[in-house]
Amino acid sequence: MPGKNHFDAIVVGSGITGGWAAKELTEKGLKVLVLERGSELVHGRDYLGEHVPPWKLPNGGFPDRELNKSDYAIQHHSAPVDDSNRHFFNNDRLNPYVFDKDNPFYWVRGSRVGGRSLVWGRQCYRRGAQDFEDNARDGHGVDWPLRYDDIKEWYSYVERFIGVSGQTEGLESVPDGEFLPPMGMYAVEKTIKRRLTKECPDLTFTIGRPAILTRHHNGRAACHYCGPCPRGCSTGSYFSTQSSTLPAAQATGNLTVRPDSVVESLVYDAEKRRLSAVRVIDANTKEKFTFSADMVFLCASTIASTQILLNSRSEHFPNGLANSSGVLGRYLMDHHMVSAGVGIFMDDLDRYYYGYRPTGGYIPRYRNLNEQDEDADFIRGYSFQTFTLRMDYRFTFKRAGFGAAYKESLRKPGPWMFALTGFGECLPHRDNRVFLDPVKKDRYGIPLVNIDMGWRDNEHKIRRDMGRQAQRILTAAGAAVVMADPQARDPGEAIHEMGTARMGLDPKTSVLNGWNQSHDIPNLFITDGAAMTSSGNTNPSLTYMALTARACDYAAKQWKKGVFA
Amino acid sequence: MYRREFISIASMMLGGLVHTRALAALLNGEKQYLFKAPDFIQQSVSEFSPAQRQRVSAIVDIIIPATANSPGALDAAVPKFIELLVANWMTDDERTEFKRGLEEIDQLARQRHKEAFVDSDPKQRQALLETFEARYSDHPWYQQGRVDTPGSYKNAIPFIAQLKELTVFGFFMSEVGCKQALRYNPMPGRFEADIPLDQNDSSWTPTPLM
Repeated sequence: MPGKNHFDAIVVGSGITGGWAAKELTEKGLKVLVLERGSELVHGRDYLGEHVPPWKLPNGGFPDRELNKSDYAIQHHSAPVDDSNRHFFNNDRLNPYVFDKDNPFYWVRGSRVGGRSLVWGRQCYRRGAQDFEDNARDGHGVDWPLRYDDIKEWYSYVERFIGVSGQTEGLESVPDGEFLPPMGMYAVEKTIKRRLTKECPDLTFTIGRPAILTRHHNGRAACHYCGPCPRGCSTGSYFSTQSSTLPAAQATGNLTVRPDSVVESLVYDAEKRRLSAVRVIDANTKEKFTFSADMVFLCASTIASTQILLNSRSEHFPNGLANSSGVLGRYLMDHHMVSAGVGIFMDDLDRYYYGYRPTGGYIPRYRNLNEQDEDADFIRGYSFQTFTLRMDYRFTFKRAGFGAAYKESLRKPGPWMFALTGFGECLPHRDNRVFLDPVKKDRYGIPLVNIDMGWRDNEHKIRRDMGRQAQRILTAAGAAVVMADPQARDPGEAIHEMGTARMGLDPKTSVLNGWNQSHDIPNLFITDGAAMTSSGNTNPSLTYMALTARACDYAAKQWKKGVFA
Repeated sequence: MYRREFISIASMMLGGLVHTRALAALLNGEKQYLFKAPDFIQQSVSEFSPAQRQRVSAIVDIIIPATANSPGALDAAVPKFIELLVANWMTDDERTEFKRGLEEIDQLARQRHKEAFVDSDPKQRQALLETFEARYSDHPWYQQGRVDTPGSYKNAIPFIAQLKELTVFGFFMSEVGCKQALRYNPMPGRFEADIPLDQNDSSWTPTPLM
């Protein structure tokens, strides 16, 4: 139906996947409307805290405790937020959700165009073949409707556009990508790698694989190593919607972005058995609008996309739109993130570095690869992200002493610290779930999301194994002091929430088919984390981008054939 | 008629305002770029009495003194930094503890040397602080290697720990501290993973762990 409010495709959300859907669909000639709940954010102009010197920070760099408590209680607890980038994050007082205080789920959210692509961790690891096979192999969850070979070229496609730096290692568990030159390892990391190669040949310690440019790429400048990426980067040196996908989409002339647009529900045409429109509430004026489209891509982020579908229930879909299976909202996952261990090293004390390296290192999954390890009491696996630096005054000042000697010791770099953070696979569990509150509504009249999730037996076993392995690794690496008392963060804190609208072969047990397309409604696609059928252990955003590009390619071809008319 | 006046009169006649960039910024909600903000210590504050100010100065000068090759807390306006945080950032309980501690250290000086803390000589002041610290150094705040952002310690901390935190961060986050005690290199431009470190080299100004 042509008209001012009709588009070929509507994309809900402008974050990691929404930006990709906008780029892909507009580049294929579709007229696309992106509806973003958050307010506008212009690349460069709106990075208010970028490059702030320490002496200009509000509160002298001390956290604004009152504001954190009143308005950012969840974000401040779990996300890389401070006074220099608070404006990228959700106001938890204005936009609450429901969870059990004794069993919390921390939901980190953006508040602007670009979503969490402005502040994400930037680590990009391909899932290996095993990550798509494990469900079928051990029976937890349903089988993925695709395999690594189906997505391999899309990983390449995405990496070539966004730019990922890394070291090729030839590992099946995390296949190599199309890499820009890797960032270098510190002296102590080289020492650690040498020792681990000898003492722990079952694992690999490599440099991280961030979506950060080590050389100029696609018109974006290489990183200048200034430090905190989540303050915003005017040179576009890390992947974000603003730096990468949005300009590409805008260049086509086919893009319309409407910020301040809260999507309340989707309209289902029961006769045509298609989505026909999207209902929007203006975030500021609360005016209601309806936009129609030939197809809809839900890219609002895992929980938000599912919330929209649950809120779109009707007589044809009493349990939520596209939910004939009954699994919508269920099988929520997040990586089991664990501070597994820290080592203090007295090696290489005469070595240092120049520039602030915006990535750590990585130890890919080496446990239960293709078969169960004899000494493993858990199934599936985990990886470690490593973090290294020479301890500065922030780490060493809390001790007795005053005066010239105290100052001298604080001025100079201390010993090296090397920390291991585990990212454990989380099994899909039916009762880890998201549902709408029967009573409470938000300020737009939309039912609040309830999030109910807990770590279960296999996650606990994974955590304990992480601790034992961290002890082994740090000892073999030659740490002078080893502390390996594994502490898990709560669900949500890895900020890798996934599932609730999972892909699968069978419409009775899954929401989406192998093209991220709803089994029930052919012109509905979901390509953010909601689609994930298993969590794997690798940072998922790269996979979301690849799934999005692949689904857009399929959807655009269908659209051009007139299938969605 | 000068061109500028003509334009402004014309605008008024058209019912519009003269749209300078400054005005546009004001109308749209001024964008506050942190890197252009005034330095934190340039604000005015009036929380301490002159006696309290002197005592804080006398204390921080001991904790981080000027030395031959680098400035000290007094050079970096740390007493002002502390007064600002005590006034605007601390809770009532923390402020009370801080001021109580300021009294306690002065009483200790009067007990020992029969004179005020500010009138004791540097060696005496150092010894007093060390005695004071020994009273409290069993507190969990003194665990080595805790990674906290400034001011994030959740439970009440004793005065001596408050002092250290405020002094150390006040100094090393100041322009003087960053540029003269540490090495300040905000735009490195390149990354070199493995370079030599000389015995006397200071650390780079750290960036937040994000």
